[in-house]
Amino acid sequence: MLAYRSMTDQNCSVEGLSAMPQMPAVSIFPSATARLNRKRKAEFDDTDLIERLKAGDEQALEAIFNRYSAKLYNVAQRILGEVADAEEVIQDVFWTAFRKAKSFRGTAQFSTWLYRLTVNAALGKVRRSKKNKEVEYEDYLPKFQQDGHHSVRPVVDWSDTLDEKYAERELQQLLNDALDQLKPVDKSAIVLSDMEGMSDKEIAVMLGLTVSAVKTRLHRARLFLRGKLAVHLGHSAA
Amino acid sequence: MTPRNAVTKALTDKTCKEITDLIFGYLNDTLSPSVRRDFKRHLRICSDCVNFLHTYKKAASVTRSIRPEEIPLKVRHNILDFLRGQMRKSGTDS
Repeated sequence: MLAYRSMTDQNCSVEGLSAMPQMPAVSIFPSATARLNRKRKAEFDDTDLIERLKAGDEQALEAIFNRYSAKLYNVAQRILGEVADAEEVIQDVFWTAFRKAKSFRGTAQFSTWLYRLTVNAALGKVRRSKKNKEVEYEDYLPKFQQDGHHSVRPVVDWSDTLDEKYAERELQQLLNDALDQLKPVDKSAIVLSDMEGMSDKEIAVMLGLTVSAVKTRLHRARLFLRGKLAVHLGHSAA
Repeated sequence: MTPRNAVTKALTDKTCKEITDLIFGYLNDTLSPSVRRDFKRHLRICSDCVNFLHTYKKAASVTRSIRPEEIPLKVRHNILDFLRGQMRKSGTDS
């Protein structure tokens, strides 16, 4: 297991910027220890259920369903955007888990296997359906002059006004709409990273990408989401 | 290059574009010490990049606050009914 990314306000502060408004203390990544402990506990709890599942125990499948369906549904729904499609994917994932439990060797974590089944099925369905709402990123990415400086200046710090301008529900809607416009693989990476708390390495395994490609996709998706928020607030995405 | 840009470039060796490309590594603490030093040095004199960093961090933190899609009760029942049916069927078949 990789050490999880950590970001504290301390190591992100920029020295010598007393004149600049500072971001409030927000820890946006869970601590490595807490995350590792959660994973170890889940791994331990799953072992007995997997053995029972291999023996064809129906109650074990229901117990596994109760444990993972909410998280897997969120991933499938986020990637697909349709309740009916997500239902179909989750149904297939659990049925596949039951049928193929014997082939599960335990070299991967059981939950990773379930997530991978879910992501692959959801991405496959998106590719077949051609229903996704993705937009061109270019309009929402930062722009630079030939010498490498920001093309629109000054860049406005709207970070403190976002919460003031939008009520909780409006902000959620805005974020959901922006998320929906990401390319399916990028959306998967953001959901697995930001909502499921997975490491870049875990996401790479899940999506069949290199760790470097995952980082690039996450960064580009975050630049896009930042640009969408900036434009909604009446500022330039650049 | 405007006079201000010329000063910025001379003092930091990194442009705003390069700084933007490094934000992900900076926030995940994966930059080498020398690159991290350059990054911070640029931010000391470039308020545009400071503001950009703040808004990037804000976008990342609100994305983490998105509420998960809850599985509707009906969908949950449908899937469990399907699984029970399939298990019964597979039990009969074997």
